Amino acid sequence: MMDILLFILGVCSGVFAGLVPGVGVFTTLILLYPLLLELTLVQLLILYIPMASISQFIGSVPSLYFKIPGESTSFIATEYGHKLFIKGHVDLIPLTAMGSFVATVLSAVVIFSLPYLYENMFYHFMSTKFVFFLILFTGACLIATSKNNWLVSTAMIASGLVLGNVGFNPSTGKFFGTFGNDWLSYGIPLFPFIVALYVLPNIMKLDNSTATAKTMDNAYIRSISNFKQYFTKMISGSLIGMIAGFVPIIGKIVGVSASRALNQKSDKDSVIAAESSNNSSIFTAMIPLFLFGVPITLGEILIYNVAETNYDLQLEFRHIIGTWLLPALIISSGVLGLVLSWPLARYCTSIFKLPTTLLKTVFLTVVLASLLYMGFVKHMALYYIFVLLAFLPLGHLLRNKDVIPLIFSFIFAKISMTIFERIMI
Amino acid sequence: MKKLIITLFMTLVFVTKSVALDLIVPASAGGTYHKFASIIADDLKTQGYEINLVVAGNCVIGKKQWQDSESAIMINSEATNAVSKCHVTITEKNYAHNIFTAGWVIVSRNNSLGERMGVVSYMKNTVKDLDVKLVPYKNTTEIKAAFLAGEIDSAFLTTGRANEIENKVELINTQSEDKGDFASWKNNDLTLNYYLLSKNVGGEIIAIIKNNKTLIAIASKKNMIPITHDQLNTQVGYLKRNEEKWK
Repeated sequence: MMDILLFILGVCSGVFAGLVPGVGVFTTLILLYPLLLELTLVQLLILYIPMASISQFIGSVPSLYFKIPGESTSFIATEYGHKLFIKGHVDLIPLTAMGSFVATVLSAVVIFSLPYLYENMFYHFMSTKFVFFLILFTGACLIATSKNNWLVSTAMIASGLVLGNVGFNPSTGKFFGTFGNDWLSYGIPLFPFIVALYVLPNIMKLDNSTATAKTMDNAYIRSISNFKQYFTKMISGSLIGMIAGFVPIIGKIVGVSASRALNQKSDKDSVIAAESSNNSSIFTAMIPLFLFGVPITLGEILIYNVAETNYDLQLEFRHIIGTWLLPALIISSGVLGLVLSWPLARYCTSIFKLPTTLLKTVFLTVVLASLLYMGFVKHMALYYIFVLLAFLPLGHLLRNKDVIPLIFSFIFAKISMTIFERIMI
Repeated sequence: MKKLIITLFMTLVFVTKSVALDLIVPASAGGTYHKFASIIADDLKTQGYEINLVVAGNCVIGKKQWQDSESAIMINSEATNAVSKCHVTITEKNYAHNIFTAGWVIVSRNNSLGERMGVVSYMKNTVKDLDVKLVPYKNTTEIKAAFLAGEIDSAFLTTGRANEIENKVELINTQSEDKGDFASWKNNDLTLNYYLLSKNVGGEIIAIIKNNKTLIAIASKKNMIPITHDQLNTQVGYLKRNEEKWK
């Protein structure tokens, strides 16, 4: 009974993490932290797997509808998918959900096969050189696929790397650009940075959609017959995500960037492939944890830290991967994600019936309330507001540019520098 | 825009800060310090104390929170204190309790350090005398991954983390009497202590923490029984001497 309740909690918190801007899986886990300390390893997985999976399914809904990213991987959907959605490609919602489901099934197969695979092959994926190559590849993808002039994109990437490196880097033990300020040692927090640079400018130019519940139902039904047409995109996105998943911390971003690059001729294809990619990368990112007891994403690190108190994790994971538990959890999360996306998409159509000014006010309130809440939780509300206000002018200045290169390079700035330093030794 | 600023200002003005004991975690959320602090906070809350768990995000902010707080407990260690901007001097007045003492192990693929050794970035100084290239990592989990991936020839890990690796050669254990080829290395008895600093905190609260069954069980299970001396000045002296090795 407790396990079922935890699974339901995982699903609900996955919806929460995917839907509310700025609140990703890691933040949701932090909010549930006291509960996590009471759980067994299996119960932690029963909670975590649906949460991580459902958040990816749901994250694309606000991204496509309102151009508000629910997750950091949703930027491809917001930037390249939202405009298509407004123009009438409402089938993007069911197609991305189906793509995510395909990725989930493929991941379940890989996870199920783990006991039969040669472990050593995974060591190569964990090597610094491989990660460094993927980061460089991602940078090239961002420049090649951005809608900006390549010089502008390169400048954005350079700026993102500088801004993202501000603060204390625990991997190198060095401070950068703090000017002796304690708050800057924390770095520039991602959430207010993204809100200033991307979310607020996009809310201000929010377009209206003519999508209704009926058109959404029709889109879902039509997508079933169109499924075959996009199947190869879903598979390619899933495979890319699987490989990129091995990149520590930023694997999902590497995956969506590469998926976008390979399908840049068609925005629709690239969004479907990217949304498939982020679902498969969250599961392959778990492979080092299951095989070697090495967590590589923030959520996994948290789960690992909680569980290692009571368990010999390597032994426990070896036992768990020999059972049906993981594939069953992954598949059931995928089925629920697919099913839940439909009513959620229908519900969102009614939000669009609101007058545009009211809609903008509602979104502004939700985003700013989330920002303040996150600031208070982290005991740095004033710093969050300061960062927001400091970057608003830049957001305004870049409102008509594709700022994805800037945001993505900001996110992977610290790890890039760390990997680069390691390569140089 | 004007309405937006007024709303933000009003929200800040009307959010009142409750008076409680601050339990400061000078590290990021979800890590080891956070876990230990959560265990302590839960225990104290069930015994009727009002606890404000402050997860600072990093040790610089943690130190700032500690300095700004009226009444606080902060988890600290030599690792945190090794970062100069995070250093909080241990005194007989602020020292409260040592919760864990972990030993360190150098593991290798064969009987030598090899060319490259993985080390947690902020503790590079502890092993700088060894004849090996030091490759910095964020934590021991990252080092373990690098060791498994074959990127480093040897690794400097806590005893607990080293135990998770199969097929390795243990070159030295700082808690063992046998120092092997490292008999002349000045840090061959290095330990890592997780201890509590307190200010304006009643003795009964520290007593509750000292008797926390979960922490005691972790110490026993993970082979991290804290080194404690009867005399306060001896205890503080031990921690300070060990701290010197980290600089």
